[in-house]
Amino acid sequence: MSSLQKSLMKDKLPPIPHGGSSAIGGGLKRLPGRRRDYSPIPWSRYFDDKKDVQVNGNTFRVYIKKSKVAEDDMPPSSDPVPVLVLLHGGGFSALTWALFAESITNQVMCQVIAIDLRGHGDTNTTDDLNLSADTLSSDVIGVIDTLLFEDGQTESQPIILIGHSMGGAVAVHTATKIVETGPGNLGDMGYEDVDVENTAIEKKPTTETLARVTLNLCGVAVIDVVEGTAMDALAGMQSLLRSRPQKFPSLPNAIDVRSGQVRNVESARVSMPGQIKNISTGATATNDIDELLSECNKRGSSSTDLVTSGLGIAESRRNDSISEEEEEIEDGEKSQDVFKKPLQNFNAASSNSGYAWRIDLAKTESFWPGWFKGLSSAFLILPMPKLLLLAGIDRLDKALTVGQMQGKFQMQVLPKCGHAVHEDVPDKVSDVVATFLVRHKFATPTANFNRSVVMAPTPNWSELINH
Amino acid sequence: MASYGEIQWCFSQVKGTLEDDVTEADIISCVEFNHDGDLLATGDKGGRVVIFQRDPCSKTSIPRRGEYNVYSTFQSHEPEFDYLKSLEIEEKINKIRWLKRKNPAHFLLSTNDKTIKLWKVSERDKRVEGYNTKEENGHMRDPASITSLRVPVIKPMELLVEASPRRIFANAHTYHINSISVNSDQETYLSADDLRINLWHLEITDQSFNIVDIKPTNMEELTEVITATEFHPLECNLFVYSSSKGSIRLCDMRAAALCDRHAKLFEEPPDDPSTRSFFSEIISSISDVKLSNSGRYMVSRDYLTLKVWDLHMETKPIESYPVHEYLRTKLCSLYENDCIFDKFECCWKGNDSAIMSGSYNNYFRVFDRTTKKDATLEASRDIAKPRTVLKPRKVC
Repeated sequence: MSSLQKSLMKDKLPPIPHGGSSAIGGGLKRLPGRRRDYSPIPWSRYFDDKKDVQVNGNTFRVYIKKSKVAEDDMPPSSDPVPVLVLLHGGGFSALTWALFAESITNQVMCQVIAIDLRGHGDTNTTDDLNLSADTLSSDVIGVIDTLLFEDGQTESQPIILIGHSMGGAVAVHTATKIVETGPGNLGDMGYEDVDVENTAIEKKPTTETLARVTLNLCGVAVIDVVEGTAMDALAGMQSLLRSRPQKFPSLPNAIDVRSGQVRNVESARVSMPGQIKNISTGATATNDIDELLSECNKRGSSSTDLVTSGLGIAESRRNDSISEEEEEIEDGEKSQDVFKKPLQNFNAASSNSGYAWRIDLAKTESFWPGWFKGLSSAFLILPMPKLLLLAGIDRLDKALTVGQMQGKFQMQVLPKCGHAVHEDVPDKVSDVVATFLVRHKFATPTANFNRSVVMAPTPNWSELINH
Repeated sequence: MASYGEIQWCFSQVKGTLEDDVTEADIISCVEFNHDGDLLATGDKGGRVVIFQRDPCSKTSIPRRGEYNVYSTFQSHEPEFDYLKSLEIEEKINKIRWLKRKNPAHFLLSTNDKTIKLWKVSERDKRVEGYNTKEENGHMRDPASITSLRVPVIKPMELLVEASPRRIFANAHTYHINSISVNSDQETYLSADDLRINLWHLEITDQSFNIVDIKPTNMEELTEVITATEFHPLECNLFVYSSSKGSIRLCDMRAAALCDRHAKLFEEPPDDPSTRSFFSEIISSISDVKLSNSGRYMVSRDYLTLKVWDLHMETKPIESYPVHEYLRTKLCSLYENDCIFDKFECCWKGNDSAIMSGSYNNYFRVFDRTTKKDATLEASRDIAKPRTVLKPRKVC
């Protein structure tokens, strides 16, 4: 049957249940038993470390993962270990990269840094709603600089910027800044009067003189964002945002909703907490996970039971507001405490509980065109190797089509994916990125490296995968 | 072999390999006998065409046997790349159709998803020796050195079968070509993709006429596609095409230049609503349609049945044969593993008394229309001895 006919037929039928079709590859892990587990997964399952990086009075949350290697497999120290800087999309969080980070560090020797951009995740800035491309790219440069340069180091390890959607636009803007300012390219980070014309940076910082440092940017990868398509989609963005649920009664409920859009439940379980915040505390839901899981251990009930009741978090909050010191509370005492201060707890339970989106994207509308305008030409002008990963072939605009025909970047289409490609099929994205890194000799492959065959997208994708 | 009026099937030969690990490129994608059955052409996924010729001895032996030997092999299509859409064009041969013989050479049309090619397959068993201006090794002789002339002689040589592409018909189809059919006038032919049917003249490669176009202006409104097409074997103005919605249309090219309006519409009345399911539409999609040799009937294959239609009666088929009815209750699983989208072909016996179609597990089904008997036979891999009679199978 032709692919046109097949898609016509499939549109009229109910979708195949999650993981039903064998054609969609190994990224999905089937959970045992029929009941889907929507409990949140903490960042620590996938990342090695999390840091809160201070840059100009702002705190950026960064998750880090490094390739682990056995003693005898240790590569020679001269081999490059690139740093992949991962930038998430608008409304998402650094945790959306969790599964990808695990996969890529397994395939090539590299270090992964996933940043919560301004206004997202656990990052706190003085102006959470200033999401201009200029500000965001300055933030990224600031974080990279602070994280990567140890004492005396003047040149960074090879850096590859990988961005998804809005993060892809930020990656291109950041790369453009780095290229434009040339060697010694720290850019404008609040250091006054940076003179980039001279070979030695003449800074007039507030405290000390810094040596020249160079960001060694050697590659850029952009996931599913194309200027033309994105600009066209902006018109419908507001109504799309309004059509999302604005509130979630519990974390697992939010994860359930998210896993409907992302086709990968496991990814939703780790990434969704970074995208929503607890209404009563105002903190990002990632902070509630540890508490939630320890609460489960206390009560001896499974996390699923506890949270599907919908009141899990609110209840534990209630307990804390009553008496923080009494960690081991008997059930009977708890209920008594509830009755002691009925009004306060009742309010907490009903109106201020639950979760809302971490960032009100609708309020950032004025910045959206700035992200995407000129993106295609800026991308094409970048002098280093570039990779564009798309979920669908029809998303290319004219400038990129011409650029692709001229061989200016590598394009890979991963059909059967939603917009959050790195969440839907993290393993495939990892294969593609790993192959890109190895081909350009940015990184050394490990024993687990899967060379992704770079093929032009074909309609018979499922045949190729099965083969 | 015939005994008691019934046909018995025997294994004859295996062409290719019986092994499990076949390379993707060797998978056969189409087969077609020529008009006298002397030649059998096969196309594979790697874009090659292999032609087998009947062994002359086997034709005259008693009992009659069919044994074929490789006659010619050539690469018909190569993989291509559509740079505009960043899409690969597969070299897999979708269909082969023979032209009727007009001279010692054989002609066939082979097509992949986008391009149709006319191939000439000719034999050479003689060569000329003794040219005056050329040496035997091909070098030119200096005319000044020629002192006498001789008459070149014709000498026999070992049979050489050459295939050469005579015409290439390209760039006429936006969607994937699923059928080609040669007109009874042997001068024109049609090619069909999901949404359009084009009419070509064999001599003209840079033009084709569009005779059917079912593409809606807004692709969102697309509800059905063309699945198979065939010219009438005798009437040069008639052709039929089947759709994914289970209907077959007969069109008359004399009526209009664009045959969007059918002359006849063959459609079975919709099922009893109580028996309809989610999959009713998919399994009603016709995967192949073939007109009988007499031109009076046609057979259509949908997922579970074969239906024989009388061209004079549009309302319902005159015969309906279940191919693998036991699959009707398993449609859900077949949807999940994608099997419900498989296409099966069908064909007529030379005298139209029987029809045949394939099923899963190497089974093929033969239906005798006169005796109403059917047989399920297995083209089993275990049978390798020629003349082994195939025993009829039963699926419980």
